[in-house]
Amino acid sequence: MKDITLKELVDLAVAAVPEPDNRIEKMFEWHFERELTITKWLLGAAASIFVAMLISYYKQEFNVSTWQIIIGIIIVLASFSYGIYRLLKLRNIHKQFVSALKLLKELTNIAPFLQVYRSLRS
Amino acid sequence: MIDSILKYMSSSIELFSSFSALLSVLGTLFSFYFTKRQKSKILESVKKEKLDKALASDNILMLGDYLTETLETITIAQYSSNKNVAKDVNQFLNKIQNYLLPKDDIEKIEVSEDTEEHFIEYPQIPKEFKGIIDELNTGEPWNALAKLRRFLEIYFRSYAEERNIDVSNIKSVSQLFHKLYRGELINSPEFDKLKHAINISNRAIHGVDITREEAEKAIKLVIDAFAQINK
Repeated sequence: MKDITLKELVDLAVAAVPEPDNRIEKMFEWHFERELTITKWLLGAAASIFVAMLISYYKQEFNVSTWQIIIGIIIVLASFSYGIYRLLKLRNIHKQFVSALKLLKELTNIAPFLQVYRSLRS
Repeated sequence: MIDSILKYMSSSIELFSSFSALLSVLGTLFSFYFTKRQKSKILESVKKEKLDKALASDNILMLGDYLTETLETITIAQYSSNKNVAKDVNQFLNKIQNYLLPKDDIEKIEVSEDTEEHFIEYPQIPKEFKGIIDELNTGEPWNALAKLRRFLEIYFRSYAEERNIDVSNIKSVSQLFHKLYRGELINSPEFDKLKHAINISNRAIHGVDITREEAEKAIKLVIDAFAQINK
């Protein structure tokens, strides 16, 4: 998953696109949707494997060796913990959105500098 | 008896080897962690050094390179969660914004083309301006005029403070000149020259194309004003 970098904000500021705030909002909406989907997949995968293991255990259909059970449990735990980690990361998205707006405003203020620099380097 | 001793010894050896293996794994992990930490500290200090160098340069290419090579790779997540990263980015942006604010200072100026002589009329250029003129000769007018504006701001702030004039609330160099003029600390001809010079500098810093002649004119106006003020 690629995070939004300062470069994307610099490009927005230099390009002087109309209503940049709306574009930032859109970028964060996409970012949020992507993160949420991945989190759902991870937690869903952990829950499915766990439930499948539980059902087959209670139905006495468990014809696998101990190490295969251990691998199954490791996969469930890893997928669940990574899903929770992504979910916790999502809590900061509002803070990131506010920071991005603040940075964009400041980068728009220095847009003349950025334009001169880019023209010298091109 | 011998059997039980051998058994005991073999289990002790097993225990000892397991313990050694555990210690070795822990040792490797710790050394990996500390090496990584040390490396990140060194990297941080190198980056800090690079930032300080760029900020002190007044050079558009150095400042711009620092932005593109270092700051542009930072993610918004890092900026909002890491105080050190946020501090570096804010420090950089403030510096550039200080160059550019306020925008109202830009005025359309007619520059006469009578500056072909390239400082010939100044056989003894004050040492404060040598760096600025060198920058103009070797680099971009932007760098020279940014340096000139920064120098004027620092010089006239301390000039005002030495004369007990409170300039702490003043944000732009033009406002500073107005305050000194109203306080009769600079006379009308010097005020006009300084204002004219700062307008040329502001135009350059805001991305308006400035010719070498215009940049020279700005520097000369300041040198003239200085000569009068320090008479």
